[in-house]
Amino acid sequence: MIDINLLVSSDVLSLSQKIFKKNLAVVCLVLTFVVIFGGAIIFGIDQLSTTRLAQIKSHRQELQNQFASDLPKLEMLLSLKDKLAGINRVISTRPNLSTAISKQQEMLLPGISTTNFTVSSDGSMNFNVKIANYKILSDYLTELETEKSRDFFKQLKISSLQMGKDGSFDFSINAVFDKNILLANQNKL
Amino acid sequence: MNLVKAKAYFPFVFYTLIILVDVIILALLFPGKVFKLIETKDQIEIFSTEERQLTEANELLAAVDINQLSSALVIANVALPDEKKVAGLISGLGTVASASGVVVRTISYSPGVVSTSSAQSQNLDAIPVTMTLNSSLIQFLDYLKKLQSASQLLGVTGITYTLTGSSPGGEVNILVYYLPARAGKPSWLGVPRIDAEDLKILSKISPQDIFNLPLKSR
Repeated sequence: MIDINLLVSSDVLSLSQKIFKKNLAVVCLVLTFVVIFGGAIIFGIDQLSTTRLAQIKSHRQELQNQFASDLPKLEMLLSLKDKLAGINRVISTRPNLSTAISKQQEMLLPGISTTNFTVSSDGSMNFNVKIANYKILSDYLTELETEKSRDFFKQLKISSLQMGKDGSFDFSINAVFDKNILLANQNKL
Repeated sequence: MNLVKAKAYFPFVFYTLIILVDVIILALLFPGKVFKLIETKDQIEIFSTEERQLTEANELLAAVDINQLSSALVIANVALPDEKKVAGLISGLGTVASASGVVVRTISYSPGVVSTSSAQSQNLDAIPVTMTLNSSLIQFLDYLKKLQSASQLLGVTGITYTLTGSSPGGEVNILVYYLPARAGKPSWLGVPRIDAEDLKILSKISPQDIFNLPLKSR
């Protein structure tokens, strides 16, 4: 049995030997050419690259000098950018608490007065109310149940209801305002 | 069949090998030059990138109108000072209160105390100030509106008010916002653009009020 791979390998080997012998002079020439001209090209490229690098460095230095002279302007620009972002954040997240108090006052009926109140920036509000008589109390509670009231209050809790000797009522209202309404009113001052 | 293929490809492979050997010979003959070439090529790439970035940064800066920038910054500096400036602020709070008919009993703040909650969540710092006041509810609401629309950014965080008795009044907690100075030297990589949308933010601040004083006089 003949090993076909071995046959092919030996053929290629003899072929390469033939070509090498035949082209020995050409190979030597090519090698010399590449070494001489290749060396010259390397030196040439090196020269060009060094010159190009020096040019870029010089131009970069000019640009850096110009940038350095504009540095105060950049500092002002960065400061303005930061401040605008900060102002925008505060304005868009700062609730308008006067709206909460005004809305609560608007809903008061004749014969009702607020004795004291506390408001916090999360929209929660506690107000103590004095009401002259039961009829007004009934009307006020009805008012608090209206759609208009529900537009402003997310949560409403009435506690500590006390009746005085004169027939008046005192009670506390714990309310949580819809913060979106307080934010929306921020720029409507 | 294989032999025919091998014969066809052999010269190509052979001469490629010769060129490869030549290159290796060149690298061995002039190793310094070859390394220098590689190094120079890398440097050219780095410096060219920087050159391009600097050119872009300088063009952006050249396009900025310094007069417009300065006037916008004056308003922004009033709204958000760079540092804690409370001396002028206290007199400002008092003057606005008088204009609304509100009597200021006390204004207190702790020097060095900086709010760590709501202000820092917005990447700002703030000084907490507490005021005790006496006024009618109408006067107080007027004052509150003025505080919340003042040219200096103030945040009212809490109100406790009593409306009974001969002298209604209460306590207001305020955050006085400021922006701490930026750390580090600015780089040409971070030149921001300020567009019309950004400047619109300034229009949300009251142009003129008692707080809108030159910083040096505050």
